[in-house]
Amino acid sequence: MVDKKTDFILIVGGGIAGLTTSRELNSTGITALVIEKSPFIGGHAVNITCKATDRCIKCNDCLVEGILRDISVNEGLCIRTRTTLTDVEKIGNRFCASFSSDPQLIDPGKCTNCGLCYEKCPGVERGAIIRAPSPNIHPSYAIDPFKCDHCRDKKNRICQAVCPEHAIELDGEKESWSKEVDGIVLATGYEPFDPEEIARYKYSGFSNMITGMDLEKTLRSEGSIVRTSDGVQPEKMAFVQCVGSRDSRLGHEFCSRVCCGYALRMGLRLVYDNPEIDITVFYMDIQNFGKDFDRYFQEARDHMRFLRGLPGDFYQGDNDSISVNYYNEDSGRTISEDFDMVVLSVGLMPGSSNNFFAETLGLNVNEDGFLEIKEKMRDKGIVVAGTTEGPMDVSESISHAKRAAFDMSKFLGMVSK
Amino acid sequence: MKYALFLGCTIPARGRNYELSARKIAQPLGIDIVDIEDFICCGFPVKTSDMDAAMLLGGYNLALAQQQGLDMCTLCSSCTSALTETAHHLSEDRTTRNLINKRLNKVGLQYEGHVKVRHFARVLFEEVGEAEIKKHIKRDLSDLKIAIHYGCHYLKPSEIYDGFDNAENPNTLDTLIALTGAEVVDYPGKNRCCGGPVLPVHEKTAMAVTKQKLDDIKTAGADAICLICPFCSVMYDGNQKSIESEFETEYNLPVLYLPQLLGLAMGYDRKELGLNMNVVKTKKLLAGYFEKT
Amino acid sequence: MSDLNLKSADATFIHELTEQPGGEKVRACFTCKTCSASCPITAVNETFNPLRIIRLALYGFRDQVLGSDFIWLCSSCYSCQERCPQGVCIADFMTLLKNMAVKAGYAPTGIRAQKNLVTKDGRIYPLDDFDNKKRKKIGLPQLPTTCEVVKRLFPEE
Repeated sequence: MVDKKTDFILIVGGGIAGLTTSRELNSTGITALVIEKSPFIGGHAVNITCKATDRCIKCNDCLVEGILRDISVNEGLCIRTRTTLTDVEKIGNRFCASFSSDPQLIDPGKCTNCGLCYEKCPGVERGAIIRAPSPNIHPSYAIDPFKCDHCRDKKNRICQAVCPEHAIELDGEKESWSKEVDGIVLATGYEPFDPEEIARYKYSGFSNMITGMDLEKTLRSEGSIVRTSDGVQPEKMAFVQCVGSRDSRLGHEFCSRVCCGYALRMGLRLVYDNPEIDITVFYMDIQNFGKDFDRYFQEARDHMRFLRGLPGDFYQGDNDSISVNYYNEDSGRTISEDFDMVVLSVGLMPGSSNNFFAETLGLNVNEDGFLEIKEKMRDKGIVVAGTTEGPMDVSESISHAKRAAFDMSKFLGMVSK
Repeated sequence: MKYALFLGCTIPARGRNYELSARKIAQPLGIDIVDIEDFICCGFPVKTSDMDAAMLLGGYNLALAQQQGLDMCTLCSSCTSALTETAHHLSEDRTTRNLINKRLNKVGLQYEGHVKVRHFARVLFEEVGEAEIKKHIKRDLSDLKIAIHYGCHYLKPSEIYDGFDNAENPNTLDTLIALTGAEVVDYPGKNRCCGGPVLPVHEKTAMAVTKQKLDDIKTAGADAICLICPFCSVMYDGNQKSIESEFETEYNLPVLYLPQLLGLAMGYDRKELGLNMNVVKTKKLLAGYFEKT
Repeated sequence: MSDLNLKSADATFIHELTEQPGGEKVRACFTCKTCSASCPITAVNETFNPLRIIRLALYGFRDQVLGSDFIWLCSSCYSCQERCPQGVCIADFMTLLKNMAVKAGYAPTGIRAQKNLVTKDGRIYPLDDFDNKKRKKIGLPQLPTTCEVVKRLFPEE
C-alpha cells in the first residue's frame, strides 16, 4: 500500500465532475488539487436551472448546489481557479505537472463576500467584476482588470480602496509553477455547440434566437424569459432539437443525450409559469434517456406541439419574430410560421483541451472527439470524470465522477484491486 | 489573367446582353479573353438523362481549353457547375478519366486534368479584386436598391468549389455590387432557386418558385434584381410578364446582369452594355444616370 | 401513391442504387426532413418531396419511383444536399434516379429532346446565320452554326 500521506491527486477541471471526484477522494483521505481555468468553480452545471413546476420533476440539476455546499465547508480541499495545465511529464511512478495561473485578485481567505466591490465598481456593465452564478461559490465575485479602465491605468482603483477586508490586490502577476502528483483526473468537461457553425440558423442574426444553454442561464438567474429585442414575454416559442448533434457533416454523429431532457423539462416549466404559452418542438426523434423520462414526455405532449422534422430556413418575421420554414404534413408543402422566440437545443461537444491531453498523456481521442481511457491508463494513474468522456447529464456526470474517484483510490491501493 | 471564355448554349442565343457587357468590362479590368470556336454544350442539360454523356461533353471542352494552355471563364452558373464538377471528377478519379479519354481519343483529344473553371464573377472577386475595380468606378449608383439572386450553381454543390465563398451565407456578389455604391437589399430566401430547371418539365411549378422570389424581392423594396446566370435571367426577366399575368400581379422589376451593373458604374453607355436587350425595361430605372453623363 | 403494396417492392433496387454515384449514402437517411423543409419545389408543389422519394426507393418501389412524374420536378438546386446531416447526396441521388428512369424508358419528351439536340447539334439552342447577324451587329464574334464533332463523340446516337 502506498503511504497515505504522500498521495496527491490532480483534478483538471472544477465543474461538477471534478468537484465530485475531489469530494469523494477527500472523504477517503486522499488530498486532491482542483484546477479550474475560469474564475469560478461549478462549470456548466452551475448555470442550469431548476425545472420544478408545482413539484420536483427530478431534473437533478440542483445536485450541483449540494456539492458546492460540501466543497465550501470542506477545509481539506484545495482549489485553484484561473489556472491551466500547461504540461505533464512522467517521472517514475509520479507525474510532474506544470501550470500557469492568472492572479486571483481577490484573496479567498480574506474576502467575506460583502459585495461592496461589486456595488462600487464603475465597470460592472462591461464585466469588470462579475458575480458567481451560485451563492455557494466563494469568493462570490471575480475581477477582470482588463475590462475596467481604472484598473488598467492603475489610477483610482475603487474596488481595492473600498474593500473593508483588504482582500483585493490588483497588481498580481501571472505565475508559472509545477507540482508532483500521483495521479491525474481529467474533468475538463464539454463545450456547448456553437450554432454559428450551421449557417442556415443565422444565430447571430436574430436577437430572439437563443440556445438551450442561454435559456437555462436566464431561467436560473431571472426566473422567467423575455425577448432580447423588446423585453416582452414570448407567447409563441419553438425549440429546435439536435442542433450540432447527430450531424455527420459536422463530424458529430453522436447524440448529446441531454437536449431532449432539458428542452422538454424547460418547456414544461414555461407552460407551468404561463399556461397560455404556445410551444412547438421540432425534433427528429425523442431520445428518452434518464429515469421517468417517458412520464415527462407524455406530459409534455399534452402541453406542447411536437412536430417531427427539422426546419429548413429561418427568416426575419414581423415584429422581431422569426419565420421558421418547415415541412407541413397536412398540406404536403413547406410552410413558414412565425415564432416570438426560437430556442436551439445545442448539443454537448468535446472539450477543447482533449487533443492536448491526448498528446501529452498518450491517450486516445475517440471518433467523436471525446477522451477514451483504456484500463491500461487507469493502472498508470490517469482517469477521466464526467463529460470529458462523452455527453452525459448532471446526475450521470456525478455517478461517473464517483466511479473515477473509486478507480483512482484503487490505483492508489486504497481499495483492494 | 488570360481565360478561354466559355459561353455555353443559352448566352449566344438568349443572353447576348450578358456576353456584351461582360466582354466590355473584362478588357479595362485586365481580363484577357480568348474565344475557342469549337466549344460545345457544357453537359449540364444532359446530366439529367445521361451523366456519362454530360461528363464526356465537359471533358471535351476542358480538353480544348487545355490544348490552348488556358483556364476557363464561364458566364453561366449551370455551365460553371457542370464543368467544375467534371474537372473535379476527372482530376480525382483516374479510372473515369481513362474512360473519358478513350472516347476523346476518337476526336484526337486527351485531358490531363489541370484546367481550372472560374465563373466570371469569381474572377472579378478573386483575381481582379475590389481595389482594382474601384479604380474604374465613374458613376455612383447609390440611388439604386438592388436585390441579389446568387442562384444555385455558382456556389453549389460546395464540395466542388474548393472553399470559394459560402453557399449558405454568400457575400462575393454583395461585395462586388457594393463597390458601385448601390444599396444591397436583403430579402428572405435570397439563396433560394429561381425554379428554372423545372421549366421544361412543369412550367407552373417553375413559375410558382420564381413568383415566390419576386414577391419577396418586391416586398423588400428593391428597385432591380442583379444576377449572374442566363437561366435565372430567363425566369426573372424573360418570364416576368407571364408570371405577372398568370398570377394577376405586377412587379415591374428590371433584371440586370452583374457586368451590366458594374459596367453602368464604370461609365458605359446603355447600348454598350446591351441594356436595350433586357426584357423588363430598364430605361426608367436608369434614366438619371444617362442624363447626367 | 395511396395504394402502395410492399408485395410489389423490389429488394434489389436499393442495391442497384447504392452501387452507383449519388446513391452511395442513401441508406444513411434518418428521416429528419431537413431536405423537404429546405426544398423550394416542395414549398410550391406537394407532389415533390425529396424525403418521400428516398423512402420509396429504400422500400424498393422501383417502378413507382422511376415511372413517377415527380422525380423530374427536382430543380437540382442542392439545398437538400448542402444540409443533409447524414451526408446523403440527395441532388445527385435525384440525378441518378432520372438517369435510371431514362434507361428504363420513362423520360418525359422534353428531357429526351434536350439530349437529342445536344448529341446532334452540340447545343440546346442551335445557332443559325440570323443569330450571327445579330451578333455581328453588336460586335460579338461569329459562332459556328454546325457541329460535326458530336457525331464522332456520340456515334451511337
